[in-house]
Amino acid sequence: MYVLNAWYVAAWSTEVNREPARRVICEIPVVLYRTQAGAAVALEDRCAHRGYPLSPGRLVGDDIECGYHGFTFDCSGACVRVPAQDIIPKQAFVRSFPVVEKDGWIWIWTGQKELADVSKVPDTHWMSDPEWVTVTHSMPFACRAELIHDNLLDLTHESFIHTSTVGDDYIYKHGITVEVDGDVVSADRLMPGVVAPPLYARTMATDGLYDRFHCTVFYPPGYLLLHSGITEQGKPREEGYLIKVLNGITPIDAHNSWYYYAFSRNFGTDQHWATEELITGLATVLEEDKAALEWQEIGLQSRPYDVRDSLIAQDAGVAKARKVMERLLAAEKQ
Amino acid sequence: MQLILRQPAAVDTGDESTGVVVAASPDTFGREQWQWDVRLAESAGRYVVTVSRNAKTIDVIEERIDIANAYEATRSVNELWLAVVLDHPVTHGGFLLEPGDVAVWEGDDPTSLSIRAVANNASLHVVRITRRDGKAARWVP
Ligand code: FES
Ligand SMILES: [Fe+2]
Repeated sequence: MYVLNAWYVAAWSTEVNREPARRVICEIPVVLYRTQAGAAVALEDRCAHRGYPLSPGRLVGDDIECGYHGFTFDCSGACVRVPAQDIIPKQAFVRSFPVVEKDGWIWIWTGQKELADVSKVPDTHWMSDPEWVTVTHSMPFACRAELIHDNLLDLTHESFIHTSTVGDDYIYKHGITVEVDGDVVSADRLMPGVVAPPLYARTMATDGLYDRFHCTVFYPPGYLLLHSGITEQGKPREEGYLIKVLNGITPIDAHNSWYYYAFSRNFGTDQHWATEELITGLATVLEEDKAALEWQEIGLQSRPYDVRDSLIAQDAGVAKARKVMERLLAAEKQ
Repeated sequence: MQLILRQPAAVDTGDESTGVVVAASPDTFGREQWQWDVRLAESAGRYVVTVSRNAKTIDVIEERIDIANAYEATRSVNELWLAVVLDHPVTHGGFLLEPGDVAVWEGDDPTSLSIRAVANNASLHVVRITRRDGKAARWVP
């Protein structure tokens, strides 16, 4: 079950070109490509003729030709050519999806077309803002998308899973403020007078004590924005070294997800060694999360139905996010 | 953990008569035995707070607080406090709370509350929840 009336990250801009690319999003097979003018196109990746995927086919101008018997579809999904006959069967069309390309990501709307509202595509401007430098990664996670939401809304796991990079015992010792505003859930933690996380300390050229903070904002169902950073003790957050972590979480199916990750920083922006260090360090962080969540998925799949999580106070954001997701799913089922 | 709910009555399509659950124990449906819940409804531009509880295990004090300047109070760590802003905006610890917003404090959250009216006199509906067994009242079980 997925919330379908939503924008999900389908791919990086760089992954979509004149070579058709396949993605599965919420169990819907999708083929992505670009027109000759460069516009991104998303069509159902299943030929209307006999179900062969279109992605192994080839582009003919702005159209895509199925590799099996040559049915050809335009960007709207209409069949425009059947090589073996002149008449095109009425039902020969594939579904097309609204797409938005912005700041390096291609977003897809998986629900009812008439509900697609371009203004609801989340803000990701840091990825293209010259004041910020961005490191990116993407990885398939063999776990349900909700586990990634939970992971980002409860950062106490940093103390245990990311010990060499962003973790420290002081994280779980500080409480959070959870804010629920409509469908948006945030979990904010302020950690006054602590050391900077090991991974950024060198880049930030800091030692001594700082106020550290991180605030995860969940825009359900597919995007989480993490505002984090450190400031001099007692100083406002805006004056500090700031990090925006953009997380596009796209379900593949009930047990697999795509994780699109961008880490933008406003400090040490001309230090290439720092960027290199972050590329490696952040890949480690993601690999650690991936390993943990894949184990958790295995744990959950073998867990009896009637056993539930034992949530604690630090799970306040997780609990609220689940409620919002339940509500959105229920609303779509009606 | 400190919880702030932005005008839940305005966005949630809960039952009009009983309102939207803004905090409860258990908060996770279908697990522990039900202890208490606080609901908020909006009717004719007025916020109505309804508290239900298991009288054997839970004590509740409800109070309407009018704030001319500031409301200062100290919560014991075992108490759960909930405040609904009734009319004019207030601030608490860097948060601006508008009418209809709800704040919940429990456990390790700030125990000294200092809630300030922004401009006009403001009023709050405050709910204080304690467990009869002396253990800490929590909204996430
Ligand atoms: S399956 Fe596509 S043309 Fe036959
Ligand atoms: Fe993590």
